[in-house]
Amino acid sequence: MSVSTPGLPSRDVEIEVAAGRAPRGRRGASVGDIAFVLPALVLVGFLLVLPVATAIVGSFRDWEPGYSSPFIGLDNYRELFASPIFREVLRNEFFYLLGLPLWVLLPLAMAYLVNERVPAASVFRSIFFFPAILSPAIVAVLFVFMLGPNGPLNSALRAVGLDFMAFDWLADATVVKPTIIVVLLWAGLGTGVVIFSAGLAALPPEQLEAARIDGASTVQELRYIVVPALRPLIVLYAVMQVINVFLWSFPWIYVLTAGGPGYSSATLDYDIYQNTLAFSRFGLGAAEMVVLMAVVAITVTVGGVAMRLIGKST
Amino acid sequence: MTRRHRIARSRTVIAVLLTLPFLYPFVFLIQVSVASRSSYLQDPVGFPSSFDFGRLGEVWTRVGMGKAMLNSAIAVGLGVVVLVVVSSMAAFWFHMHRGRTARALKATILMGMALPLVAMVIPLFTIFSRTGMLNELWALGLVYAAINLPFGVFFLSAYYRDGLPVSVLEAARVDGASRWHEFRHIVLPLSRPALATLAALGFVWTWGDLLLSLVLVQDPERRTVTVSAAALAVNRFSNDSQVAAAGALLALLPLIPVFLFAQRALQRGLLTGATK
Repeated sequence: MSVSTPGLPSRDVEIEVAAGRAPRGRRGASVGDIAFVLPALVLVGFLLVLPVATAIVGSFRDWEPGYSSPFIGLDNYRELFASPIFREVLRNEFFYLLGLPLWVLLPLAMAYLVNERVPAASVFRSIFFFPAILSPAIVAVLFVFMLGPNGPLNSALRAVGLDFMAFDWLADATVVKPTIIVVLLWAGLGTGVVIFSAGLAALPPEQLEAARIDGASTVQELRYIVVPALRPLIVLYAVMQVINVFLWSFPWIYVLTAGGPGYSSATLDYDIYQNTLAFSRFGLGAAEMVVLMAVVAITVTVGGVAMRLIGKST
Repeated sequence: MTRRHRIARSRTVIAVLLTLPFLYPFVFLIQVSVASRSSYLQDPVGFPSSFDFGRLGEVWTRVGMGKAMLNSAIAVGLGVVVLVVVSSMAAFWFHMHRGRTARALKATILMGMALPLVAMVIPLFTIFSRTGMLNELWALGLVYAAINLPFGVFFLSAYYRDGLPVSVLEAARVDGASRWHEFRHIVLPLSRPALATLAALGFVWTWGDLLLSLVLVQDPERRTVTVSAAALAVNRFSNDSQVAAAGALLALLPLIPVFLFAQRALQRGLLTGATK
């Protein structure tokens, strides 16, 4: 803001006048002032915008870094959509999204369970929250141990006579995707508990008290009071989870399964990594990046609209 | 006993049972990393009959986790400092400027929050190989700052909006304070808790980074913690589970004090991210 008080020219005006330019009014930015935002613009421009632009341009090229990369129109996209691997990877992504009800409702139920009426509620919340700050790749290592053919889970199953359920959880195509859904649940649950606990704390306590006096069961309380009251937060958290699957699955897949067996657990970001750095198909990978960015943009837009609609109806 | 007490007690029991799947994997990880070789080979799952704590030291020195910690500390440390400084300055600027250009710039920066990491890192790999920035920890640190910058600007903008009335700053201005003076002596002191939260979040997010350092740092001597620990576990040829477990355990250790001291702040940060 260049002019703040009438009759008292601010420094910015003086600087602009000194620089031989007319002050551009209160919306204009002065020279000294722009230094505040410049580092951010340089970082974002060089390290976020430029790479994305490179990817978009590269998706229309037979892109080979270090060599001439002629433009080939939509060939990369044609190849991508004709590829059975790409289709399998897309199907995988949608399979993972089946975990959504679990990822959203379980933290909600647990936040409700561990509310203020349980002694040491914050200790419980801390225990659930701890995994949420850990490195996904390292948590994945933890699960490579837990879910190994002779790991603790299978030992426990065998000990109680459930030998037929002792799968090779991360190497068997029939169970690998549900297994990953559960691992992601474990890792993300704490964040959900924290977010929903805050939402619950903001509810008027009389509401729950009244339901209890009327003899509502825990499930009824959840179904008829907690869920409707927290609906905007639930939609928001669901959108966050969908975006997470598209944006952040790489470390999990890389460590847990390397996309396998075959391509049965690969996600888009893992497949892009492989197509480019393992198979040197940079053009194809770039087209896949554009598709991924479009999917995320659509998710964000749809989620935003859903949130606005639900915000209005409550 | 009243119904309410009964409910509270059964809830506590359920809650305690639910913590087991969240605690046991850590117990198991520690147990595998410190069990003696013979004990582990005899029974890889049960509680060890004898211990070998020397493995942790060996993984630190011979396997290079110590060196990797140092590499991570350099990249993550630089990243966090740059993140906090640059996003606080930018958020302050956006706080003072609400014109069309400023709003468009801010929207562009915030869009970075929905950017798939992989769509950024692969092109960066090609750019860095041309400009000689591959394998440089300082370059990785700047990338760390850049990927969290959109969140930083978003988070601090929300904080300034609630806690830093423009009128206070305008008053300072009338008293002749320059923008820098204002920033150093009013904005920064007032936003210390928010800056600490951002630093803690930036630390845990980048300490755990796999993809960026896997792609941008190929030199084994400069590998970061997460890449080194993951490499021990995914190398399915020379797979020594106990060494892998010890590596994972060491990689997690620095996060424990951050969790203990900054848990509230981390939760607050995530809440701002979710509800603003």
